[in-house]
Amino acid sequence: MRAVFDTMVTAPPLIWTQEQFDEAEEVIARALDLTLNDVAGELAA
Amino acid sequence: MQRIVDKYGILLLADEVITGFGRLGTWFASQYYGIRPNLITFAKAATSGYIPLSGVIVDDKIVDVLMAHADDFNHGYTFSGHPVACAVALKNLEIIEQEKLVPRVKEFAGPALAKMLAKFKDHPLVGEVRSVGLLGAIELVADKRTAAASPILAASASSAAIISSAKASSCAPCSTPWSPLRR
Repeated sequence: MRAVFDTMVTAPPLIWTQEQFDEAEEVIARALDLTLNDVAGELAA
Repeated sequence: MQRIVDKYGILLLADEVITGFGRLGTWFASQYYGIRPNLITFAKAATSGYIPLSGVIVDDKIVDVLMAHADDFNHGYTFSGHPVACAVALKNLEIIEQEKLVPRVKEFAGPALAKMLAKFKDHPLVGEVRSVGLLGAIELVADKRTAAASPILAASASSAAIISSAKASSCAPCSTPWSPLRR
């Protein structure tokens, strides 16, 4: 997963199983939360 | 689009470097979108990246002009048709067929990605999630109400995802340059 302008984009392998989608979901959730935490003071109220 | 290029006799070129060989649940995105390009560029998934290979597919309309002009289809480069790269591509395509990966994207993997992405649409940083087949995007915004774009947030969150996944497992999510799904 990488950034293209304001968007996080992904092109996962064609062979991904549900388990791997679940793992990606956890990682993305953590990344979004960490980022939100980082910028919490800068966002519009 | 097909109607317009047909009407005016315009050559249609499709860059399928990212979308070719099953990414959208069809062998080519041109099939997904119902267009008939005269020329298709491809790479990446032809070999699944195990060996670098890129290529161009052209239709009779283009070949006929080349043949009429030079009595030959001149398109050679130093490493054109490299036997190792072509052998890998043939085996890779054979595996994609055998394991039915193209219908798998349509029936399972594409919907699984869409379902996974949908879980993030209410996150405070997320303006929109979208996907086509196995291409997915999470658009980040500084203000969810006005959908103000935020490139810095996306870069930051993507870095965090890479670091998190590197910590979580030895296999980082596939990273592919991509942009065609922008609004």
